[in-house]
Amino acid sequence: MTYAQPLGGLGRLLMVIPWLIKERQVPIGEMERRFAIKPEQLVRDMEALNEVDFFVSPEQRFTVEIDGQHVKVLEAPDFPATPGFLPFEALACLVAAKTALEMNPGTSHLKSAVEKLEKAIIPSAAPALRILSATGIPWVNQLSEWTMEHKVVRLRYRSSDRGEISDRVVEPWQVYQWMGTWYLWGFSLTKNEPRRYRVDGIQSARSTGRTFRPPPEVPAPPTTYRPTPDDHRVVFLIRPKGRWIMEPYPMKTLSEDREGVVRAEFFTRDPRVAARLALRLGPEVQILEGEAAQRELVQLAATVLQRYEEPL
Amino acid sequence: MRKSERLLNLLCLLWSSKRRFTREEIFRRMAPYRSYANQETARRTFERDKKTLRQVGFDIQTSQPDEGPATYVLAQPSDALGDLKLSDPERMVLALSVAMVKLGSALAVDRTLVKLGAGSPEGRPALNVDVGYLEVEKVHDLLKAVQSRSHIFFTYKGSRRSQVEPVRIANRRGRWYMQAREDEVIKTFRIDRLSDLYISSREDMYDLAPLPEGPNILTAEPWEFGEEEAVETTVHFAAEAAWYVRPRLPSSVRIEEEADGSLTVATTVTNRAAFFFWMLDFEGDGEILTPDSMRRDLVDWVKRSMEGSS
Repeated sequence: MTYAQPLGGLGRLLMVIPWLIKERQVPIGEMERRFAIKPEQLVRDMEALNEVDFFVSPEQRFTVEIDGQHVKVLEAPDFPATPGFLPFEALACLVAAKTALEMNPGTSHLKSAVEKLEKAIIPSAAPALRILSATGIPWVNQLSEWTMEHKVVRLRYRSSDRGEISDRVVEPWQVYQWMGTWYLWGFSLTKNEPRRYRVDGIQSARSTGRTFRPPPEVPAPPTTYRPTPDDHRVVFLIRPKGRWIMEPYPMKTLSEDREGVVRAEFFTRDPRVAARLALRLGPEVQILEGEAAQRELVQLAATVLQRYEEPL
Repeated sequence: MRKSERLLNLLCLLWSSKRRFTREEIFRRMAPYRSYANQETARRTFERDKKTLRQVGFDIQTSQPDEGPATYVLAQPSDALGDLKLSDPERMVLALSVAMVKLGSALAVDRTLVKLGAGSPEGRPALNVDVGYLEVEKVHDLLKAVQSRSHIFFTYKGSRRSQVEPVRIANRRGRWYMQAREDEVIKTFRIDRLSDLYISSREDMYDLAPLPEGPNILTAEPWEFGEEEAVETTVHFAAEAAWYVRPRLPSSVRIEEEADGSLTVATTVTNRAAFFFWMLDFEGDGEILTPDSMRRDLVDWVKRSMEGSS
């Protein structure tokens, strides 16, 4: 049986290392058959793990010897006898494990660990904790592998806001899921600045064959928009049913009337972002100020109405 | 060696054994302390390390006998869970999971990793899943209530809710939700909006019967669990857009791939505003095929988006 590997390099580690620790010595053919992993890939994965000091002390390294037919574990980390989790720590651990399991259901050790944690925390209500994660998105596995291997990648990418497709050369730092969407975070050699890309906007990707050295401190990927002095300022009028949009998009309330209608200020690098919001929210939102955004809105509306053979 | 690594190693050493260690024994086992040329500097560093660990919640107890050197032991907190009997491979995969999943809360992830036998990974993991802000105490209390089947009382969006029966805690798209029975109806609450939580001390107050899995925020999209009359709707996406549309289609819709590579998607709409918000994310790449009423409503929606824009 070959296990699915939706987590790419990390998923492979999740499965193969516990197996190796348990077995200590395994035939290479058996490892390849069960995990679809070549010995040289295993060595690269282990180097990556050791490189980030995953294990506590320098003495605790994970090393193997490959002698033609077998993989033999030479060093494996020692584990403390009793974790001694506080309930909150066990809960955090359970959430993390269930998230990983949701994405990688073939990991038997993870499954049994989850069962033990559930038994300790919620013995008679195990199904009560449920994690739903975005899985099966193309490119996530491959990109995380290239990220681990510090490979420069060339992306054929469709921008979310403009829908334009172009090539980007990127040094990938991290593949991450945020609010249910997968992103690639890295340094764009095309734009010469850190950029994040929606993974579902990547039409194709390939390694350029070059490697790069990541910065000593990789900055955290952005989760909120930071305005710049060159941004477009847009003022929206937002009716009560559309006010939920102020949570995912950073807006500043300028005024609010008795009916709950809000005037809100919004900054964006691309006025089309504001136009798209206005289009999607229909009568719930109006653009009060921001000429560029208004022009974009007219264009967007015309494009959609053309599909329905309707004049503007 | 960095300070954090030294602290983690000290913790690991104390954790690895239930016995007491003298300072000399600790120094013998840990190169960072041994490496100081000046023993007084090593002693002061050790004292600072102990203080730091105590400040972050580790109970390092000191015992000073009448004769001989002081000894140190890491005490198990009284509410610590017993031995979970995790195997080494299980601890390993748990450590990898904790390192990969971002919980967004003030949890001592490093401490959890130490207890699993792994240190804090340096740098940014290649793959990361952010499950949003996990309010551990609140979620833990809610799970305890589910476990004991105790009623809960709380404030939600300004109104006080009483005798609610929690049945499930779930995470989807970075948000935490509680599903609970209130007045015989299953409702879903966002946990970050829930405050002044009180859990009744009375247990076994309700049954944990399986939940009816109708469309809800955990299983469906916002346009599928509205209150409008249900309208079966089909949408067509052109072949050239299919590659980027497909990964964005929710699992609850029905997809047919046509011979030319285009997609026809069928879904049940009970909230037009939510449906149009989703549809128009694809701008002109998607077109409602049926019914005509939905086509007309979308056209009207788009025209009205420009009303009032000066």
